[in-house]
Amino acid sequence: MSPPATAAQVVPGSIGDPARATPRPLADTARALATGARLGWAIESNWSDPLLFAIYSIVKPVGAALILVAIVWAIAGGGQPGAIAFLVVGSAAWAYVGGGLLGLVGAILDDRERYRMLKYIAVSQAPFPAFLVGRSAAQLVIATAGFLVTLVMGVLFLGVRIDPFAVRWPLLVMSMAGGLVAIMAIGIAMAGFCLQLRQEAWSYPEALAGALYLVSGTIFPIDVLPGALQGVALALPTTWWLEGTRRALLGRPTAGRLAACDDATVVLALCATTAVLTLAGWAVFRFFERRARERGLIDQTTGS
Amino acid sequence: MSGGRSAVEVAPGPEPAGSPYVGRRTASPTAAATWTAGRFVTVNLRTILGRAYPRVVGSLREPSWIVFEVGMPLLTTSAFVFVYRALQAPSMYVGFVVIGGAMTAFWLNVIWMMAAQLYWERGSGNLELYFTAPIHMMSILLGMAVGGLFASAVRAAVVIVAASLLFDVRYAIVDWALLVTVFLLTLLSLYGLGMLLASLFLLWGREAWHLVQLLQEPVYFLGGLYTPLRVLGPLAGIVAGILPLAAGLDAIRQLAFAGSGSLGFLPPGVEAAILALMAVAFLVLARFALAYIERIARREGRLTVRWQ
Repeated sequence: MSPPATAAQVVPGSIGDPARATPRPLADTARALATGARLGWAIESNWSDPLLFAIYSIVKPVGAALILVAIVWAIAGGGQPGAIAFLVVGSAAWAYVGGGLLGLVGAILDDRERYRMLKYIAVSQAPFPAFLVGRSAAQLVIATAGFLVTLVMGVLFLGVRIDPFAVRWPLLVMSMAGGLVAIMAIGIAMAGFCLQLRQEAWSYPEALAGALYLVSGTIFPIDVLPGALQGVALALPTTWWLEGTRRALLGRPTAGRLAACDDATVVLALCATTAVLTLAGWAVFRFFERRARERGLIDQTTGS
Repeated sequence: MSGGRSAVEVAPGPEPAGSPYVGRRTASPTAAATWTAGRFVTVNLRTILGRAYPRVVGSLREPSWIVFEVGMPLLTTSAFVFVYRALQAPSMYVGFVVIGGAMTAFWLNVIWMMAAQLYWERGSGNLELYFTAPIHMMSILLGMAVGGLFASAVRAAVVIVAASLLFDVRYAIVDWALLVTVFLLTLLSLYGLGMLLASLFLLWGREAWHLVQLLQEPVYFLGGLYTPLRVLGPLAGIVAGILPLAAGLDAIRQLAFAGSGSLGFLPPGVEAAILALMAVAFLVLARFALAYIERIARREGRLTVRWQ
């Protein structure tokens, strides 16, 4: 047996290097994000051949958009192109909410109940939220595919007018960035909550997405909502995200209350509400994570 | 190990009368392995109850599902109501959406808690126990259905009652008897379809989970959950013939709202007959498919494969 290595013999960066135990927040976070993303992508994509995976990625959001188009056809017989454009953009963008929430909660439940490796993540040096965000990144990639395909189908088959040269790209980038951060914040809070719950919490992200769907002006202007819910809608970043995205793509504001706001106000409101929600989401996750550790819920399987 | 009895010391012979391992006294091992019809029925009834039990008790132990699975779907249904209001649609459409929203509870229960459940059971290690126990797989599936029906029925009832009150939906029932019959036939054929899908999921790994995802929005669209089936045009004929949800909803709407017959795809009586046929076909197919797929799964060694 070879003698133990002395400090002088340790290769910097190798397993024996004590410096590796020193926390490096940025590097650890980046590594957790990258590892989570790689793992998430493998889990989401390698169950099938690429063609079937591509079909899967686009059928769901396109189906959601078609429900809404069928509603317009049933009532107006296709005579409301403005309404169809409004619905197609809202429905296409909503794929991010479903994907983001499901990705984060799914990571918790999948890794705890099915793969049973959540406990190893929890005891590792990797920042837990960073790993979860990375783990859900694959869902966001799938959502992006659905978003783009739904828009293209809207343009090709449903008469939606989106001119790539007329799109307000800076507004689109700012809206999407703010919206995605907000969705991740909601998802992180939800993931923390689901640490306390049993396996059936699978359906909860969808339920929450359904609630946000109602109050974010996704498929109808918020003016249709009762007064109190309009206040809730204005306090949610998802409302401002969708409004910014619609303005950027369609070149006009949503008729009604939001039309009174200029683009700068929309971006400012998105940033402010996203900042508040992100802080709240972080606090909620930390609270539930601590509670789960105290009660031994991190490695508890609950199959029922 | 000191103190423990070795195999040599244990004399073969009948278990003591009070032993929990003795279900009934028999004259011989052959007699013990012979099952009467009564015993077969009793054991399978106990299986149904046994599989339904954790679902009902589990849902009572963790009441958060009431908020997420009852309250939130109500909001989704409301979203579609507001779309119709924004389009200034006739009030009858609001009623259509409410009934569609309620029926999603049963569809979600069938695809998530029944069709895909065997996939979860395999992951948690229960599937091998089911197959080694002297019980029929359809009893397990029926137990899942009964247990799941509890939460689904609560969810559907809350959506119907709350949304009807909130949005002032007025029902004008055409024929109560036919309405109840159609509803029950819809459930029967839906759960029959769930059993058929469950057999397929025995073979699949993660594809199962993704297939369930695909069976949501596209089925909501094709099943006419939020729009009359007639909007689909010629496609409606195909859908009504293979998807119980489509035929059932179309008939229920026509029977719940007098005067909506012009928006219906087929007369309710015809749709009831289609549903009855589907129920029989799905249950018979499920019976054979389960046996067939089980054979394949055993041969290919997939019954205990996990994490694939």
